[in-house]
Amino acid sequence: MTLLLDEVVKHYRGASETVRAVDGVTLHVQRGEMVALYGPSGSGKTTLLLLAAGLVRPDAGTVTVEERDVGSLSRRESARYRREVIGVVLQHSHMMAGVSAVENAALKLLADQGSLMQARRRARPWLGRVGLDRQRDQLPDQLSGGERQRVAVARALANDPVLLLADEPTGSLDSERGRKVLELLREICHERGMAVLLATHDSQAAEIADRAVVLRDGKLHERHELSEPAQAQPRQEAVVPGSEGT
Amino acid sequence: MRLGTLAWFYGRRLRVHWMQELLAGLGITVGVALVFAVQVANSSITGSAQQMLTAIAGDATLQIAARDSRGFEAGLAQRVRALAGVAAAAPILEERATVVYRGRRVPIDLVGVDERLTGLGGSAARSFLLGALLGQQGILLPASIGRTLRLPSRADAESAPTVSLDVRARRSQVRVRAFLGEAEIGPLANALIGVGSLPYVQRVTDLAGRVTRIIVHAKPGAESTVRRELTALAGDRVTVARVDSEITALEQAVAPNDQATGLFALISALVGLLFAFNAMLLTMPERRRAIAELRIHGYETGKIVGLVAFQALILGAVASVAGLALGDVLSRAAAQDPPSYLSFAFPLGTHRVVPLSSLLIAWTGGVVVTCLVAAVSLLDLRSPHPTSAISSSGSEPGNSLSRRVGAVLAATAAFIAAATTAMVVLAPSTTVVGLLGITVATVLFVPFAFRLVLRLLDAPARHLRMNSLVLALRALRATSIRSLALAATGAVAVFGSITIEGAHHDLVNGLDRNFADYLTSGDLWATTGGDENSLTTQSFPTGTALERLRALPAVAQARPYFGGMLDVAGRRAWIIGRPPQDRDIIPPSQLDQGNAATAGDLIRGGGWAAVSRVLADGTEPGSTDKSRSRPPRECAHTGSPRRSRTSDGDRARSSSTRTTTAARGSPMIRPRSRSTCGPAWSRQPHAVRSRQRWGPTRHFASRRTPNATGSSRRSRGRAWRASRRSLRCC
Repeated sequence: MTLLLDEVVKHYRGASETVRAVDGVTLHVQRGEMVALYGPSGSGKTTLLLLAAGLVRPDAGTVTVEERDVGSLSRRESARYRREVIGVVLQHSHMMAGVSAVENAALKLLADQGSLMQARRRARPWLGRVGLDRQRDQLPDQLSGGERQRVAVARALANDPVLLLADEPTGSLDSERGRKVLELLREICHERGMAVLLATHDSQAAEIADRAVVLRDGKLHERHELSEPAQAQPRQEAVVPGSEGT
Repeated sequence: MRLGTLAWFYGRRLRVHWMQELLAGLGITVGVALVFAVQVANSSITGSAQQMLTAIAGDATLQIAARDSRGFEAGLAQRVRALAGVAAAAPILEERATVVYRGRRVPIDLVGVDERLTGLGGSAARSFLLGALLGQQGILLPASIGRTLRLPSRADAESAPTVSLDVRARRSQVRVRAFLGEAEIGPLANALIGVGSLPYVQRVTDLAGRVTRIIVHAKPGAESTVRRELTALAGDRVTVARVDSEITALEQAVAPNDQATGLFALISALVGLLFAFNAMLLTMPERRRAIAELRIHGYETGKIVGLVAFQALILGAVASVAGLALGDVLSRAAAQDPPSYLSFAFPLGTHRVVPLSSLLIAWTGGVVVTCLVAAVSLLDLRSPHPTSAISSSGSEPGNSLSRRVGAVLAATAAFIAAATTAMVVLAPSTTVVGLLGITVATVLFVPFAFRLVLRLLDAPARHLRMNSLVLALRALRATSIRSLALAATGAVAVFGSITIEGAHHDLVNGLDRNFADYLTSGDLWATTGGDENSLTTQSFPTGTALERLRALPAVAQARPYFGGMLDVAGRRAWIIGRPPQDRDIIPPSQLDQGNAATAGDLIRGGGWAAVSRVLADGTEPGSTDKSRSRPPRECAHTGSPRRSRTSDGDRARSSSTRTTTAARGSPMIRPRSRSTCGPAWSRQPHAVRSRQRWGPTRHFASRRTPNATGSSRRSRGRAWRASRRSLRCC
């Protein structure tokens, strides 16, 4: 089991009221499975993803990724977990200004002691995998919205994660481009044996996933099997797509 | 993270945001420059004086100093040297003088020395002595003065240039035997000083057999004994003090200037800081998004802090170095122009002293401030919503300020303002600190005022359908922090300029009024020196000049005045001796406490003095300084600082700093021939109006003289011009 959320609760205390963002959610995501977390705005999708990313701690329940209790990690361990174990794509993923596409994709790899050259070399195949090899040296303001989002996907995948958390990754794209990005994610998910948790309020986007769950007012209301989860494949830990040619 | 990676990140940032970084750096540069320049200018005043003292006095620790420019018997030096605990003692004669060459004038301290000076071990002593011996019939000048006067650069026995030397109302033609540079006299090379042999200086100053100071080097462990013996030897007509007592007095005198310039520098630095903050805020949303993104992708807090700190350090370090360079230029200009009110009372050098501490404080301050400003973007690291900087919600991320925070800041501002007001009312000497408090309160109050103005404008804008205004208000709300920073910059700049300009205006007005009160007792003044003697503290013997002036047909009265400097209670006081005939001994505008009429009567009778508040506070009964210097009895306080008034009979019966004349209304005045007034006399007649223009503030104050009431303006003017002509003849 890659991701396991067990009776997870998260409250946000405001000045006048307490918001139950996530209220007793239990969810499993397996390797090679793409699960859509479907729900309207304010239903708690983003909070659930942040919990899985270790960016917020649950008030109750446990979040486990690859047998690791994410909620009990220290700040340093949590950062390392995000850097080495998971990948995150946001709706408004930020491209660092003045930094080329391949360097943006390599951003996560620079946190370690590796050199810029090494990081670029590791990130470049992923940029090719999302179809941006020719644009690798272009700056963010020279890329379209869809291309920027694909760079964000490449960046999230650059560390070859076991779990990809995607929060409305196609929210700022038109339906055609959005669909392509999601299909790409599913393809990589199945190909790499990677678990994907996709938060979306778009039913069409949810349909692309292997399975969809509905979140409303912080509670998981129903499950909807959209397709059979892909056959879990042995994880290719050390092989990076395209690395054969590099 | 590797250093190369950090540099790579900053390089990429500069590629896009170079203008914002440049603007931020500019703000830091200006702030650092002003703080550094003010520090150097301030420390140069006392530092150069200290260097001059050390260069002359060497290891000496004690001195016997005269209380006026007439000095005391030089024979005292022999008796001092004979004391058992004295290792060396050197007599010196110092007089304020003016060197004149082809219309160019440089005021100097004329110093007469002899071979005994070398015994003190001062670095300049040997050069002085050599020069003094060389200049038996002339003087030596620092090379800087030679350049200022544009004297021929070579000064040797054959072609030594001749200059005029005005001292104690005597003009002598003297030869400049040598120019001394830094190699010979170190820091004194930039001092306004002239050196001659003691006998020669005694001759040109008409002070044969007299000296103004004996510098004493006591043997190790014998200083207190020597001091007691010197006190017994000197009696109560001269002062025995530490050799650096002048530096202490200078530090006292410089303090208000330091405070004022320090306040100016701090306010300027604050404006520079806000300017830098504004520039950084331009890219703050982008920076915060980047930080959020790095956090999401697994950068530890330490790495993010390191990244931001590295960029701030580079920016701060470079901008601060540029600030030091700019400050250096500014301080050079400032060092050439020390406060004029100090130059009347102290021999000041123009040598710049740059303490390492000033360098470090200014540079470190610039770097720290840059880091603090940059640290604002790190606040998100504490946020429970790590992606809030990325997901915008109406306003730019990080640009909102809650109502509660605004209210807390406003309440803090009100508290600071109230506390500051109470502090300044109770202790007026804390005004400068109070101004800083008000500055901080102004900044803190800006968010509340900003929100209030927006609210006041919002309703009518909507009601009147002023769509442009509505949009503008919305834009201001969306970028609250940036708008607030801009507003705060403006507020501090306006507050600072009003404060500084207001303080300057008050000071100028006060000094002008004081100076006008001081001068308007006569129509014309005959004084020695030029601008350098605006306070008329350089005395000269009147001889028979008074009688000759009184004999002039257009002159109604001619009265002698005395002015000088006296160290009292660690301060250098301006002594004013007015003639009993003056209508106002104490100008009413300067009265702080006491009865002016009673005080005037007592002072006219002799034995009494009116002193300034600050001097009175420093000479309370029981003060050793008071008993030592025996100041005249006190009967009133005046508002102006470091000022003491006595009857001129108390201070000087044979000397006078100037004479005043009151012109009669009649224009019938015939100039007398020069021969009737004796030899060429450097005493200069000055009309009251022109002397006011020379005053410490160099402002022109138009006042009618009380002595001329009853005469028409035209006839007064004619009499005035005629009197000037007559006086010039003398």
